[in-house]
Amino acid sequence: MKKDIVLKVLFYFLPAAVIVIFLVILNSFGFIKSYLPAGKQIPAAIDNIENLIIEEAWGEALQEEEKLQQNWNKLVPLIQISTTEENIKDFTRTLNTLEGYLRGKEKGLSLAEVQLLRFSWQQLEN
Amino acid sequence: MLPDYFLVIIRSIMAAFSLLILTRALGKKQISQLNFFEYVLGITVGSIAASMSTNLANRALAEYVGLITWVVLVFLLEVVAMKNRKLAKLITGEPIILIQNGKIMEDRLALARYSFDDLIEQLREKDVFSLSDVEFAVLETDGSLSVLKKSQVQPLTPKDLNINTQYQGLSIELISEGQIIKQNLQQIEKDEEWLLEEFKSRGVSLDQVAYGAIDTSGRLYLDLYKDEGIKIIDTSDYEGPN
Repeated sequence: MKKDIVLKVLFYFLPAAVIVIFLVILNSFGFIKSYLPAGKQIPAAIDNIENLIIEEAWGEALQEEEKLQQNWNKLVPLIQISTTEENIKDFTRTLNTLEGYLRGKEKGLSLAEVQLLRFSWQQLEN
Repeated sequence: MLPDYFLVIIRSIMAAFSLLILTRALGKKQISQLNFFEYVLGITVGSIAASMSTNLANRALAEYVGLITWVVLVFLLEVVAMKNRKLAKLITGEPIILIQNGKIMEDRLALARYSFDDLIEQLREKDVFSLSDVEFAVLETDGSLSVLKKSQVQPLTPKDLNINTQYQGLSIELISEGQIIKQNLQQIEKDEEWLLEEFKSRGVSLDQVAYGAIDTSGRLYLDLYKDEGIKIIDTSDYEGPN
């Protein structure tokens, strides 16, 4: 009887569990975004940078952007399995462009890049 | 950032294990038993798994869901086909009689989009080299041809001569790769002692036996690791590794 239960677990539960685990891993971005500190900090950092640009506090905005970059670099290996290469490149590219505009103190262009960064962050889940 | 090859390895492991699980869930149909629809589905599932494993431009989750959906779809269609005969016919099609009472049914050939050459070729594959030997030929849903030869050309069987034969069932494996299969020994109501006695009577020991099976008449077949007195015939005309 006990052997039967063990066999049933092996033949039915285990394969089903493997499939579910793979599904969870491949869909892990939502979890990382909502629960991991590195994931949670990114939208807040984007908002912060936007406010600093509006206030034209370029030095602080650059510091915040640098922190965001560090956070992003920590996050990338964790989300690579659950998003596409292109989405990651898009976010990285936008972040680098933003840095250039912040150094050049380009208010309008910086704000546009912040908006694009927000969009790229949402796109990571799609 | 993880290198691409590392991601490919992870995605390939996921795809391979999932394919293994999902195809096991689908059953044991051989390629020769698949109808055209199932065959195409198999190719589609394989393509999705391959894409999931190496195409980093696509989100793995989307491809994984696609893979599961196709397999579940096939599974559901198989279940429906088992429960409902009409739907089964719709899904898998029906066998078509191509030769009836020794006559080729040309309209059926056209229906199956079969040429005379196709028919003759498949008959030859069934060891039929003369159309006059065929009573019936049926094109099955998997594309194979079933042939009923005329009674005059069918091989003689013991039944034709009213000869009684002994029952012949499946042989049961008792030793494989030198290991005794205890479950099968119990099944034939014997024990290891009996088996070792049999070995003794033949002058062999367990470590010498590679394979052993018993047939329904009680005859024990043993194959030893050492094949003494046998010179292996080399049928190869190629000198490299086989």
